[in-house]
This record gives sequence, C-alpha cells and structure tokens, in this order.
Amino acid sequence: MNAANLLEIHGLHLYFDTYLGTVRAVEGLDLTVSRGETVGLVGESGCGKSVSALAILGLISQPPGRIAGGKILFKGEDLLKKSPAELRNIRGKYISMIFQEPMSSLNPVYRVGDQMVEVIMLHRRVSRGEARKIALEMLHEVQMPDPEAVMQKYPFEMSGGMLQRVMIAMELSGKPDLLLADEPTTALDVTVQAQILRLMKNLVKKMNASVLLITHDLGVVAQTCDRVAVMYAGQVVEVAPTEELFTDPRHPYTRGLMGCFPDPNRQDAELAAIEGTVPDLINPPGGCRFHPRCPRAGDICGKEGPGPVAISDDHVVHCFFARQASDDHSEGGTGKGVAVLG
Amino acid sequence: MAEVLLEVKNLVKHFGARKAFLEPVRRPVRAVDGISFSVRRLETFGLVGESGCGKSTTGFCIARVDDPTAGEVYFEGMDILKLGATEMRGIRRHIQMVFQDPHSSLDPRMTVLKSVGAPLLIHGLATRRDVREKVLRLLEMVGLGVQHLDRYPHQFSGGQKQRLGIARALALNPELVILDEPTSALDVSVQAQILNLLRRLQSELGLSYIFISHNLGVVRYLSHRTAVMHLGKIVELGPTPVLFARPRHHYTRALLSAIPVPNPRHDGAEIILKGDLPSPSRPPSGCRFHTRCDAASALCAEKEPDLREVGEDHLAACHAPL
Amino acid sequence: MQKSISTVASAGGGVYPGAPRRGKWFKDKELGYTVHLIRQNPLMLAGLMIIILLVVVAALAPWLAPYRPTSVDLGGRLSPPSPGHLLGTDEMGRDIFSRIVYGSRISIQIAVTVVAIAGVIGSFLGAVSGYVGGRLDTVMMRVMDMILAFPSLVLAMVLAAVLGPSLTNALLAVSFVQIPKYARLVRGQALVLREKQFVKAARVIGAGDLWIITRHILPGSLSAVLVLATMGMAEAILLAASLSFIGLGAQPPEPEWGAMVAMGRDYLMDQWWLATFPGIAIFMVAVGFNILGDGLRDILDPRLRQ
Repeated sequence: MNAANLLEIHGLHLYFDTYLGTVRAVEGLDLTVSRGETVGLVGESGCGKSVSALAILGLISQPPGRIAGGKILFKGEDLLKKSPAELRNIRGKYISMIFQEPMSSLNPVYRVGDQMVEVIMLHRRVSRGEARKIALEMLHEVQMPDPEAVMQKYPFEMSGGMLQRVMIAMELSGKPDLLLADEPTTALDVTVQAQILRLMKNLVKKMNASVLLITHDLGVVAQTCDRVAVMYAGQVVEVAPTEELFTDPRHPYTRGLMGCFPDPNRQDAELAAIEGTVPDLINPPGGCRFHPRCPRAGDICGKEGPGPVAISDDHVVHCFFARQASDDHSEGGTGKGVAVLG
Repeated sequence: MAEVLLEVKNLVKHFGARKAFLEPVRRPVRAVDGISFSVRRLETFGLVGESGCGKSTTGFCIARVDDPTAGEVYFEGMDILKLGATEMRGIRRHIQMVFQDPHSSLDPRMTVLKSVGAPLLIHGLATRRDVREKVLRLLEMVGLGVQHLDRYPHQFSGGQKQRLGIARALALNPELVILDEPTSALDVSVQAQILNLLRRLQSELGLSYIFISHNLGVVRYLSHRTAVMHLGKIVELGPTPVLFARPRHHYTRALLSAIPVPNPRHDGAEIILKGDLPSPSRPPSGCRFHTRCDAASALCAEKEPDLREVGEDHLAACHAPL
Repeated sequence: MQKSISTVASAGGGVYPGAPRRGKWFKDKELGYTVHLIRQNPLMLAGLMIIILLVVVAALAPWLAPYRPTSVDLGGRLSPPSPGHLLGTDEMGRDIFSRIVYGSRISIQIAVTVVAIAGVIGSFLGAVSGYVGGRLDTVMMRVMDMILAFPSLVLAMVLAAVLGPSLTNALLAVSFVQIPKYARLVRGQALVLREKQFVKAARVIGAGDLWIITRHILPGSLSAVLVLATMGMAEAILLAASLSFIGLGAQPPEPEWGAMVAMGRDYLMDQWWLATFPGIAIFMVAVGFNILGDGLRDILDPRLRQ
C-alpha cells in the first residue's frame, strides 16, 4: 500500500444473488484515492458505481449482495475484514457519504437541527451543547443563511439545495478523511448545483478531505475532480487525470460518452450516440464487456478481457487498442459507434 | 418570417386556486403567470428553466392535459381553449406530447400494440384488423420492429420506452409535438440516440416541436428559438444562437454560466447565484429575479419589467438588460 | 441512512442493472417467479390448499357425499359420528358430512356472488369517483362513509329483514354492505393512477373518461381489488352464515353451514356434532381466504411498487 493513498480498492467483486441468477454488478474494480484528492467515478446507470461506494461503507445488504473477492484498504486496513461494530465507528467519523436525494436521507418528523446534533454526538462523542455548537458552525461553513432558524426547521420546509447543504454540513461535521458523494447534485437545479459543487470543493480543500464523487455527468467531473475513473458494466475501463481524460480519452466508451454531449459548435451534426444498450450483468458479454457496442472491436475483444494498458504514469486504459486510439480522434464520429437510426 | 402555427397569449395557470366543494382554501401556486409566445411552422421552440418555473405546466396547458386558469392558445388561428370536448378531439390529432418519464408514460399492463395503437383506434384511423400493421409502421419509424409489438413496457430499456412514447405521439400524424423533458430520465448515450431520432423525424415528417427541458446543452442543440422561464414568467426569448452567445437577461446569463462544461480547462461557473429559487406560491415583488440578481435596483423590487425587444427577434424582461 | 438501505435493496432487486433484465424477470419468468414467491410463503400455501380443497369438494360433491343432503331418516336422527355417518346425523337424520359437502357449493356461491356484485359495482363507483373527482367524488364518498358508519352485520340484517328471509336476499344485503370497501380502495388507486403520465398521455391522444377508466384505472386497480376480494370472500361467507344463523338467510332444508350451526344450537350440550362440524367448516374456509389474501398482498405489493 502506497502511504499517500487513503483508499485502495483491489479487485473488488460484488455480486447480487437474485432469483434469475447472479448479477455480477462489480467485477474486478481497482481504484485508489490519495489524501486530499477528489476522484470522479463516472458511468451510466447500472454500471456499478453506486454499489461500489456502498461496499466501501459496508452498506451492501448480504444477502442478496455478496462480496466475492477483493480488498478495500482504508489507511492500509481492509474494510471488508472489519466487524459491523468497527465499521459503524468508521462510518461518519472517517468516511462519510452524501446521497442524491437529501430529502430521503433525513427523517421527516424530526427537526433538522436535532438530527444534526444527534449525528454529531455520535461521531464526535461530545455533549449535546457542544454538538449544537458544532452544528451551527458547520451550517455557517456551508453558507447557510440564518443557521439558528435552519436548526428549527423540518426537512419538508426546506428546498433541495438547502437540504443538501445540511447533509454536507452533517457529513463533514465528523471531519472525515474520505467523503463519498453519490450524485450529490443530480436532483438539484443547475444554478443550485453550481453553488453546491463550489461549496463542496472549497470545504474539502479546507478540511483536506478526499472525495470520491460518483456521477453520470462529465461536466460535473470536469469542474471538480483531480482524477477520473470511467466505469462500464461493472468494470473500470479508463483511469486518468481529469485533464488528460478529456484531452486524450483512449477507451472507446469514454470517447463515446464525450461524443454524446451536444457540441455547441457543431449544431447540425448528428450526435455520436453509442449504439445499443447496457448489457445484462447476469450474462455479461465475454471478453471486454463493451465489445458488442464498440466501434473498433476486433476478434480478440470477444475472447479475452483486456488487461490494463498504461498510457502514462497515471493514465490506465483497459483496451487492446489503447495505444492506437489517439491517432484517429475523429473516428468516434463515424463507423459503428454512431447510432444510425432508421 | 415563417408562418405562425401556435400562438400563446397571456397564459395563466394557478394551482389550488379553485375552491373545491367542502375543501379548505389554499394559497394558489402561480405555476404559469401570464406568458405569451408563438411557435412557427417547422421550428423547434425551446422552453428552458429550472424546476418549478412552469415550463412543463405550459406544455400541459397547451396539450390541454391541464386546464389553464386564463389566457388564449391559438392553433392555426383557432382558440383551442374555447373548444368543447368534441371539437377538441379533432385538434388533439394535431397537437401531441411526449412525456418526461418513459417508465410511467406507458401503462405497464398494456402491450406495445395496445399503447401505440390506442390513438389510432380512438380516432378511427385504424380498425382492429389493420391496427397491427399501422402500429408496426410507427415502430419502424422510431427504430423498433415487429418483434416488439406484443411486448410489455417493462421488457424495454428507458430509451426504447421513449421511442414508444414518440411512436404513440406520431400515430395521429400531428403537426406540433410537445416534448416535455424527453431525455432527462435517460443516460447520456441513450439521450443522444433520442435527440438524433427527434431531429430526423422533424425533417422527415415536417413537425414543429415545443422542446421543454432544464438541460441547456440539449436545448441549444435542438431548438431554433429559446424562451427562458423563471417562476412562471418568460424572462428572455430569442434565436437560440444569439441567446446563448449573448444573453440579455441576468438570469439567463447565470443559468448559462452554471452549466458544468465537460472541459476541465473551463473555469467553471463565473456567476454563482445566491440562495434558492423563491417559492412560486409567494413570488417576490416586481421582477421575480431581483432577490438573486446582482444588478437589482430599487426599481426592480417595485415594478415588474415587461418583455421588451432588445434585438432582432429577441425579447428580454429586464429593467437593465445586459 | 434510510436511503442506503433502499439503494441496496433496489440494487439487488429490480432496478439493477437496468430495464432489460427486469423485463426478463417479469415477463418470461413471471409464472416461475410467482411460484417461487408462493413457495417461500408456507402460510399462503396452506390458505391456497384450503381453498382448492373447498373447490374440489364442491365440484365433486355428488361423488364425495354418501347421502343426499336432504334425505331424511327419522329413525337415525341425532346419531353420533360413526363409520356409517362420518360426522353423525342431525335432528332429521340427515348425514352431516354430506350436508357439509353440499354446503361447500353454497359457500362458494355466496363468496363468488357477493364479491362479484360488490366488487364490480364498488370498483366502478370508486374508479369514477376518484378519476372524475370534484363534487361527484365528495358526494359519492360521503354516501359510502354513511354505509360504512353502520356495522355491516346490523345493516345487512336490516336489509335482509326488509327484503324477506331468503338466501338470495341475504346475498344482496351482504353485497350491498361490501360495496363501500371496494369503492374506497379503487378510488384511492384512481387518485394515484390519475396522476400517472400514461393517463395524461391517454388524454392527449384524445381518450375519453370512459376509455381511461376502463382501460387504465380499473385494470390498474385489479391487483389491489384481487387482494380485497379474496379477503372479502371470507367476510361474505361469515356474514351470510351469520344471517342464516339468525334465520334471515338460507332456509331449511338448505345445507347452508350457518343455518346448520343455527339448527345445531339447540342440541349443543348433548349432540355437539350438529353445530361443531359446520362451524369448523366455516372457520376453515374463512381462515383459508384470509391467509390467501394476506399472501397475495405480500406477493403483489413489491411488484406494484415497480
């Protein structure tokens, strides 16, 4: 374990046993987050990004969930070997999590302040009065106007943006080393999203916390993350520093995702949609899981899974053709990758 | 200038305003508070704004899913809000709608044949005998096939369901299709497929669209003219390229700058608005944006600005336009 | 951390990893999955068995019953259970086992008729009330409240007494008092379904109210009605038996279980079998329908949430 790494996930396999068969939701996930770093975990719905975060916190219900292999090292210790009591101690205090829907993370029948105080007492082991002070301080930190009044409110009296601030205040009150944020701004309006993203960025920098930001929005990633891991169908297909990922994406899926964003300068062009749909994870395609949708898939892609290919020190791609990919940048706009409809 | 297909005049929709029998009176939510615009033939008219700005309600009112509180909606010169049930049924054929959530816009208990065939049967455009063939033709138009006819909605992915929703809307051969956030529930890769499809259908079938979305990138890609809504009002309306390149209303500018750009070299939002959207049941006085606006003056809190011409075909409701 | 729990649940359940797989789950393997769920619910299985037994007995009554239900044998009256008369004979010498076997037909008739009448009328009223809303809804629901305000047995008694004592009239009375339950249930469903996008979509394509009610609202309420109907059968049988017991329902010599209990009441001290066996039959069937209904609700509910 590299000492600079706060979190290291090695070969995580996460399965769900269902009536129809085993859903291989995450298969061989490798991911590192170093201290003070913000890492984006990007992918479409069902790619395994959220369940991976829940696995870090030990929040996968087993059954139906099953950790079928791998290690999750946090500060060098394997979280998967921890007892429920030890995990409870780690959650909130060392690792916190923010969810997409702040409304459903808060209890509707208790005042916001009481819930915050409760959580702070639990994580910081302080008195009620002390906890109240911390809560007010944190609400101040998240730029909440009139924290005193907010403490007295019930969740339904507040807007989504305000509630997400409360959640951030609550989750950061334990001064965690790692914050897991699962689509924290997806339910919010863009103007509010911009506020929350900037707020989170500043706060984690101030507290020197690391963040694992789970999102489907490449725009959000570009604006907030230091490094990005792109997931597809339960596997990481590409990891790179944010800037490098956007300027030199090597995996066909990453490039496909970027092509899906309407380019304001090319109004008349068809969007480069990725053909087909996400595979069934009970019977995922053999070889590279992306090969049935891949514009440049060769014979080998259906036969064996591509190993990691290092493009540079911290740019790793799981693709047989990763080294050739940068030559033909325009290629994403033609060929099989574009859904030619009708 | 192209021919006007639909004209909306002073459309108002208040929710909860009407007092139901034996029910308590509530403060009305002023979802749409007097908006006017027109949609031209063959154009895509974008309607953008944040949640609660009234953009979807506007769509529902035009499609007469909701009954507006006041206002006029002229379709080909006829005020469709004054039409009775039978006459409205005729107009329905020309104005159709695609809904936001593909998962709930199809009845889970109906096969594709029944869902997509329903408009044909209701309007007598197909008989029980040839409905299958006609539905198939619609499915082929949206990139689906004969193998999908007898399936149920849950057997489809989100993108396919949205194609079904589009097929149903096209069944009556409409002139105007209201697209209410048609891609916001979909993954980006699928969103691109649907946008391409919508674009292709528009040129092939000669459709006019009202494209309702909170996603400015998508609106920019698809629409010719765009109206920005804020708390039940249109604050700015203009040709899409002009509006995006040089917004004149402070809200439009803030909205545009808040979009996360998928380019790490981009600085991020330059203008970050303070606070949250005010509640549509108690909108601020004067200009409804003045509580969050940098340039707000005393006048803004007092007097509501009218939508005024600020450029060619370009309107903005601001006392101090940019 | 409420959210986390639901996320995990959905990850293991339907949502993950997206619609294509969910499709498989619910169509191709729908039956298999239902069987799987029933197997995991032994109590429901027991209820199902009881009801299947009831239906089989009713269907095969002429072959199962050693005697005709009404054949009188005054010489052998009030004889205790014996190999000749498995459950003994009653005060007219009729074989109680045979009467219970034939009585199952009446019970099924009661259950099906009442649920059919009350279910159809109630569901339709509820659907219209909920979908149309407004003043009509308010008035209709207040009427339903008034019916519900009376204890159902008392109301049924009054109605049966007014209509005259007969099994048919008892059925009508019981059906009437059951209507509000279905109406309220379906109205609730209609209020939810009315806001669904597919109902709005139906309006956009020009569908009329009747079309929407019959194609969307009623089918959409079906699973909930099914659960209520199953439990309603138990209640219908109990109510009808109660009416018969007090002489307002089935009249002698019909082998109706409630009437049989009433007849046996006078002999309860010495000839306990007269009232006990039909009583057990009523009890079993009522329990059977109830636990079956409970089980159905468990099975249908998670899918309703999809």
